[in-house]
Amino acid sequence: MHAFKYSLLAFVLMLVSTVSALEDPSNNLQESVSKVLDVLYEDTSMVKDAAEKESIILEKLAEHYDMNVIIRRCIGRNWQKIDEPNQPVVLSLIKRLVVRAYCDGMKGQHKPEIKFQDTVFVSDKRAEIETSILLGNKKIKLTYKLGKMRSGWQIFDLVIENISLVVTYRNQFDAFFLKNDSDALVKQLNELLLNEDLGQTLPI
Amino acid sequence: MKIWDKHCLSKSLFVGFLSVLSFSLLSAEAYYDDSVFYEDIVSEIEIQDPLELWNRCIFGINDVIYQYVIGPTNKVYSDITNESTRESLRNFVYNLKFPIRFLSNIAQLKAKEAFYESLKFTLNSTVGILGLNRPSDRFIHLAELEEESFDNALACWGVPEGPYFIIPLLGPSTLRDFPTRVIEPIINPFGDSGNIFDSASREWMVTFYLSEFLVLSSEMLPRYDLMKSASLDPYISLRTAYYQGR
Repeated sequence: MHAFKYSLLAFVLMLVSTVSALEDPSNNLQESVSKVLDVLYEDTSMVKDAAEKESIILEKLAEHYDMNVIIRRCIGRNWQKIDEPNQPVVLSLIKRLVVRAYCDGMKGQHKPEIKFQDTVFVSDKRAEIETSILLGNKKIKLTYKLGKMRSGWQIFDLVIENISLVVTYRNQFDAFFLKNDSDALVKQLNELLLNEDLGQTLPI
Repeated sequence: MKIWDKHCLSKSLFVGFLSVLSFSLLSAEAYYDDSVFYEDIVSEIEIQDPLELWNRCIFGINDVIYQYVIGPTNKVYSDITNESTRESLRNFVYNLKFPIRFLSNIAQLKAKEAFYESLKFTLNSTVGILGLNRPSDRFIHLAELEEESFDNALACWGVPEGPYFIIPLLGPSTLRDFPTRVIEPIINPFGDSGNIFDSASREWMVTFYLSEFLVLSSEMLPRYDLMKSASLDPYISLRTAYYQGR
């Protein structure tokens, strides 16, 4: 009888471990996206400027995700070419740049409607969640590629209409480090972030 | 019996321990090592850009034209139209390009897709009032129909894509993609004098192409602008996006 109990206990433990390993990352993602949209589309009188909104969004995202993961994937092997004192600076600057691009992409006259498809587990450590963003009459396909890490499911890549954020940035970093060093990178990132009007040069 | 129980207990606990360990390994694993960050993902795209110097030059000229000519023109266009009008005009232009999508499907021997394209065109041209609306989007098979082009058809027949280059005003292309940009206007209803619109004057044709460019650029320019604002190197960014988005 005891043998049966212990075997059952072992079986339950195995089952729990398998289920936990394939825990659906969609819930956390939906929660984070919802929080980001709330910040983006909340009453503008509550928040002073875009920079403040970006900081709040970063905080909300940090509740479930380590943004450094996707940024390190964007940088790839070029990370070794960045001087150690510059590494945290570069991470912080790119984080702001990526969040700004994400926020600008989500901006519209009205809060977008987002539909989450079922999670597709590519393997036990990789998952993909396809979403459809309805911005007015426009429908945009955004796929979140996630990977399982010690800290939980992390965003590994964002694929907007078949265009991967990681691939696009990785190519740029590869080209950049052929001719420049990390000091030049910090300088250029600062310039990009300071140029807040860049996104408004064509006010369409 | 007790010995058997003890044996089972130790065995079961061992199995339990193993399962917990395997779970920890699954979730924690050696995944926090650098391999996750250094994964080779760029090699998925093969980019041939021997004309980079020339391309960068054209890219710069295009950028100036977009910023100082097309951008302000689009601003006026956006001011005098609302979003739903712009959407209807985009639909109209899209509907007119039906022959390109249809023939590209035929060239790839995609009979089912060609049939769906015809169905879509008929529905949008009639119920959708000359293609200004897209009632076809209500049907999942029609809404999710992949947009085919001559470039895809040539790729299907094994034509190599050749080097990347930027066309003045029109933007990124490849050697294989370039002729399709010449052929596509020919089968466009307003493209040449030998088709159903042979009475259309040259002025009318030019007006049509400019309008088409304006309508399509009103959608593309904000994307281009967004891409540029978040890029270390907008040229590389556009090139990578072009290869991925094809």
